[in-house]
Amino acid sequence: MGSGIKYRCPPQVAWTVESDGILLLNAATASSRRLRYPEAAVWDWISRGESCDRIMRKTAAVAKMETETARRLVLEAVRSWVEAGFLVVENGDG
Amino acid sequence: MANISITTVCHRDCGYCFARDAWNGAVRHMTIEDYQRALDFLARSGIDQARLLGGEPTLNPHFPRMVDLALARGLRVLVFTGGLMPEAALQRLEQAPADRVAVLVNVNGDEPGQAHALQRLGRRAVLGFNIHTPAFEPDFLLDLIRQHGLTPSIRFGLAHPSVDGSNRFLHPRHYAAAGERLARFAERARAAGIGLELDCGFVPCMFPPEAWEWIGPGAGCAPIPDILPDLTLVACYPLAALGREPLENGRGAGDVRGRFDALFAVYRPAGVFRACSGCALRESGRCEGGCLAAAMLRLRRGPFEFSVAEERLHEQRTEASRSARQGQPAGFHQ
Repeated sequence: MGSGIKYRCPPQVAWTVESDGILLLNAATASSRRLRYPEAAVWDWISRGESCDRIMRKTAAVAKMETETARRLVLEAVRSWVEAGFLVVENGDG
Repeated sequence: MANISITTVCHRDCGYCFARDAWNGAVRHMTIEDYQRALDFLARSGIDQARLLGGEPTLNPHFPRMVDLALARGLRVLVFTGGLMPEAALQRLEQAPADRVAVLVNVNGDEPGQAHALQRLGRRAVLGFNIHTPAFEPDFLLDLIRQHGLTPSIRFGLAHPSVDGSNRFLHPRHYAAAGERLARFAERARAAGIGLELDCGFVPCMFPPEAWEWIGPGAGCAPIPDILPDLTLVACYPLAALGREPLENGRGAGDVRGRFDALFAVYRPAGVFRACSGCALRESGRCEGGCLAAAMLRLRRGPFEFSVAEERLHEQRTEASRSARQGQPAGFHQ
């Protein structure tokens, strides 16, 4: 991939798949967050190494939303996970 | 409460043992001097019972004296043993005051040598049984109690996983089968005048609803610190890999438990089942979600990476700057 932003999940972060979403745990900050769908699905796909474009398309499909809306949902979710320390920015150009 | 692990030595090789991982392969007996420090810890913690375990605690060559030292301090003594013990240890337990010394004999089945100890301990002995398979057969316990005149009570434990180990344990997916079997056994035991006690980690949903009355609230997951032979403290054996605390002068069990509670708090929202999230039993406080070490089996961890291409970000930035110009928040949550 060319320019863009690369994110990394730090080792102190763990998660479990629950019947109603995903539970994120951050041992470094002693914090947790419950993700409902479709955000939970986004985390699951990210953790499985799926590409950003594919995740945006799948989010649009499962949440029955426009591709542009799905794109914003995914980026907003990623932004909030960075803010909470569940992801860290590995490199970026702004 | 706090347990004193007075030796790492054991002559059994139980596949479900979750203690071995806590010792990192060390072979060690607690010394008398260190044992006295452990008793000091109990005293300043306001604990009135010395719970001696191992390994096989009776294999510590100082075991008889250790029992005496605890009794001399006015403590009650509870010994966790496999029942295969040296004659000197058996004699000491046999002669100890029955109202102050109890022996919990963990049995797996018909093991040579256990019957001898059970016969001599009689009412001092309570049977313990660890469930490590859903197809366990506990009826022999009733025979042992009748045959040897033991205390009419059985303490059942779940074989929990150690966080970093490879011990054999009862996976939560087998809890329902084990709970059904235990509930049926409880009826037969009660008919024989024998009560059941459940150790930590049992969850109500593993039992048929008609059994909930006799199960009671259960022990939940409230780790009892173990003082290891090297005088370090762990929250419990299954969670030993997550942290240790030194046994220092001035600190009591409450302080140590508080530290461990804080260390584990982040993981507590996770339960042993996916369905623990939002479960009414849990939300009502009837259940704590089972053994934390078992719940942690469900944790997934990175590392993983995720990249967002420049053109995708650009669209977002365009949106953000347009929103900013219009005085509106950007992004999905509008």
